[in-house]
Amino acid sequence: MAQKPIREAQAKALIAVNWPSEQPGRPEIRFAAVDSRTDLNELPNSQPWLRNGKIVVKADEMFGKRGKLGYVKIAENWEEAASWISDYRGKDVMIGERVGKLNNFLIEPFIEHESEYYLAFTCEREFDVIHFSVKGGVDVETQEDAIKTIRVPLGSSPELINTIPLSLQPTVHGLFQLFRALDLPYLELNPITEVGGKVYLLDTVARADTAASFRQTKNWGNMEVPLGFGTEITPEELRIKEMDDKSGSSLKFVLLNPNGRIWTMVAGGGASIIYSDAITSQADHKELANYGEWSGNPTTDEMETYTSEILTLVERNADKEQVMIIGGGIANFTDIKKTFAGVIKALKKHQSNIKNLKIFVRRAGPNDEEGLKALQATCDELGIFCVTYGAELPMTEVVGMAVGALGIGINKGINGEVNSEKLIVNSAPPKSSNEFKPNDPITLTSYPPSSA
Amino acid sequence: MTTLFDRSTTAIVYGRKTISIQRMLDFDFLSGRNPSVSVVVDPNSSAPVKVFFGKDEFLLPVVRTLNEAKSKFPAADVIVNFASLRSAGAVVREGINLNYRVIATIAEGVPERDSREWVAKAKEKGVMLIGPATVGAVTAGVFRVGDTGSSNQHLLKSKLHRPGCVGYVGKSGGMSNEMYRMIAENSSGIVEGVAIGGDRNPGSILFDHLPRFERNPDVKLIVVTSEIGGTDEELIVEAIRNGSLTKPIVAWVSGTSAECFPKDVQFGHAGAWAESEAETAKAKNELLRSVGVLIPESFEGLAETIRNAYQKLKNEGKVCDLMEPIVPEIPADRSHTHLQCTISDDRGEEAKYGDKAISDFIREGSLPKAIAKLWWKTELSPPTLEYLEMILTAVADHGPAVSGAHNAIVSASAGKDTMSALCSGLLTIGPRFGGAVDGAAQAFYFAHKNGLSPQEFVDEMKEKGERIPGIGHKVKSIHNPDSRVAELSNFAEHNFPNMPVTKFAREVELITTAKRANLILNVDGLIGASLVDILLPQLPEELRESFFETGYLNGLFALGRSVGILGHIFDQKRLQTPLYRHPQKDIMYGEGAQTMM
Repeated sequence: MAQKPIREAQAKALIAVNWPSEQPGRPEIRFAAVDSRTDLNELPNSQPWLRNGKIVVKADEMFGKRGKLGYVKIAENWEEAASWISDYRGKDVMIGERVGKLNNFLIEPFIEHESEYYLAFTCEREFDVIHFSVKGGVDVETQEDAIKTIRVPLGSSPELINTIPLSLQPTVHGLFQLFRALDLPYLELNPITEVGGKVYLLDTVARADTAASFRQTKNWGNMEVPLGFGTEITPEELRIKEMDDKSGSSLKFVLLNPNGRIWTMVAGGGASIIYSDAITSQADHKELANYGEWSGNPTTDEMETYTSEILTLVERNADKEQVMIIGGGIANFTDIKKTFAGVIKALKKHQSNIKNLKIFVRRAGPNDEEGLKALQATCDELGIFCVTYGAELPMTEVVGMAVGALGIGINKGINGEVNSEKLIVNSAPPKSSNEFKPNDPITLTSYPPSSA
Repeated sequence: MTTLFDRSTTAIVYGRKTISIQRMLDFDFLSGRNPSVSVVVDPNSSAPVKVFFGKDEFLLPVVRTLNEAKSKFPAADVIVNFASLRSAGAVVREGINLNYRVIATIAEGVPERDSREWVAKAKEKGVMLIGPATVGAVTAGVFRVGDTGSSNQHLLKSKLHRPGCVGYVGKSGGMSNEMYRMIAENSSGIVEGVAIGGDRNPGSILFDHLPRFERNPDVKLIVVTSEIGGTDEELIVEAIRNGSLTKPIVAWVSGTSAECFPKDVQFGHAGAWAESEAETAKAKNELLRSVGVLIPESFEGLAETIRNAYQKLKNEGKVCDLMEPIVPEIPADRSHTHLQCTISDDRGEEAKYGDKAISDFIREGSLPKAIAKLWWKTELSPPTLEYLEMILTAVADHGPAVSGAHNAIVSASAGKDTMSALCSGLLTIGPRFGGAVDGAAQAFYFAHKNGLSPQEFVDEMKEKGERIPGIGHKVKSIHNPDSRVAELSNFAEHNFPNMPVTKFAREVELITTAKRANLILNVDGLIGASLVDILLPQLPEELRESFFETGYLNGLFALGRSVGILGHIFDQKRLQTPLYRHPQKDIMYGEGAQTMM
């Protein structure tokens, strides 16, 4: 539920399908989208224009600077384009620091053009903003002075400036309407050009507000908002996502590294960020197996499924030492006893394969004492190492314990130097105690280096 | 007002969130103030909510619309909006139009364009928005929004029941509670705390709350927690630079881990992503630190930073230790009652109908007076009482052939006891027998109210293919009028000058009897129409709303007819009638003559 980049083909399809019929200036939109399953031999039969001369092929994977990176091809004919796609399709490429597959491509007729304008629509808190430059194209960032902005109060119509050619203005008006009506918080057309009285969108970048999907079913059709470049969804993530979509609560799970040894089940959008911060600053970030977040008082069944999906992934490395951090702040209304009942059920179900998993719990809120006690008792009974704390322990202190248990703590000093430090957990698991003071060295021989 | 709320603030809760409402009331009780929830809005039901104030249970009124809440409880100036993400927007827009002062919206997943439009409208009207996607806000010892502060045990530990010296504002609703605890353990606690919510465009931003903290002399220290995404912090920095924010501020921006992720990860908060370098956690922490905001090395150092800042204020003599108030106790074993009664009371020396002793009713010797009190919780004018008695008399019996009497006779003849036979007779009362009174009243009332002419009403019913309730009789006609109708009508016309609905019904009768002579206003129709004119205006408002659905008028018929039914049962008992068996020749078997061929 947030702004998400969509593919260029999706953005263009949205514009073509939803262009207001009474609005002049409709841009010429013609494209063919290719994904991992598209039959390239068949494609020109359904899209005969592909055989009409020069065409442009672009990787459509939501990363920018495609021309510079070599992921745009101007092909003399269809055969050349098809062979270029075949060379790249399904290949892993590295963009910045991220590796991902090229599966999606966009093919358009090549448009011989001279002028290249830059046009973008963005959102400020109280304004919609139109950005325009007559010097569009790849280096628009370096020409910031040339970009004119028009800030349009919400609910008002824009008054365009004469920097924008008169002939282009109806198109700008139409695109602006769509930017608003389609819940696209970001829409960039760079370059946009005019040839022979027709407007062409040579490159389009857009983000969709996925929170609006419930009311955009008509306009968006069956558009699937992509996950992002280099992001493929695993069956576990998909099942949790499907559960989340149907639930009134929030159940989020992103697998970062299936071989990471630190698993998290943190409650709350804010707390989950802070736990991620704590883990990545106290251990090599590759050890963080997942990001996740549960909140909004999920049911016992939902928590059982959620936990169970994560434990299935833990089981894949059953012979390795791993830790699970069940963390969170002091819940406002999430019932700890009820939600932990689901965690307990899942632990029982998976008990035989998680003997090398150590569990560190810090959670508080309504019915926390009973919930924590029940979880501790279950783990003791199953022979799973587990420590449980409530609000008496500072929120992220369990991160240090968990990292220490794996012996992988690092100390990022103020000057950025990294010192390895082996932390050992005493054999006897600590019990929760209201008398616990953060500085008492009750369980660890040494402690997370935050105060160092 | 230098806080969002004061101790007389009252709120409307949109949504039947019983547990959250109870938490608000418990907070009020623990803080030693009066209940802060005036009314609940539930579009689906106006059944009141049972809640506790301390150990005492009471009923909180429920209305169907915000408009109604506003007109009945004009002093409540806060909306705690629990509407779902799909309807939250409509509530906020209506709330802004109705000039509510503060609107806190809990729902997560509101489209960004919607919340931006709220912001623009709220600004015009000077409304403070909190949320969406949050738990709300709290002014310590004063007012709590919804679930803010968790269970009673936790809110006391976080010192939310009395003011401290810290103003807190942060993004995350869940973390706000953690922060209240951290602040309470490292200083004297909060004066006020706000969680603006994790969206990219919340109704109010972090900075919107800081000038209030600056103005409030009780706030000595400000704590801010933020996240990756957005540029609120630039406004804070600007205000510090231009000298409009002078109080010490401790802050932390979380989200440093975002850079470590190997792929696109949307944090649980929709707004927690950086569009540019300036929106990263690291950049924002550094920016805040550059103007003297106290920023720890990591979240883990936040408690210590607050403790040190508070200690410094203490050393400077700017804050002093507080006397902890005595906190009233809430019994742990509160449980809701299962039965409820609002019409009579047998607990005192003498039982009462409503607020009046039974002996008073006895002395006055009028059954309709008791009916008025027990059915409608009111008193009625003398002619109305008389009219009710006439109605009861008119409907007492109508011979042995009608359904009710017939059933009772058959049951009594089968040897059933009096109560069973009475029930079998009463059970026939429904839409076709005796139960048309409420239907007739409702049909005439709404047709008249909606300004239909009698002809339009008749046409409309015909189009729908529905019989007009209260019109038509098996035996009686204009040539052979129903004397019961004549008598009742006569009395009503002489005693009640203004009878618009009855007049309307009579005009309908003129049209229908022109078609067929037996389509007269029958006894059900007359009783229904006339009681809408006579009785309805005298009832308390909250009873009037559900007048038709409750079935009072059919109740009158059942009460009167019980007299006759009992009469028939006693009659059969005395006659020692044998078991009744219906004659075969009076029954058509199968399809009748055809099947015999």
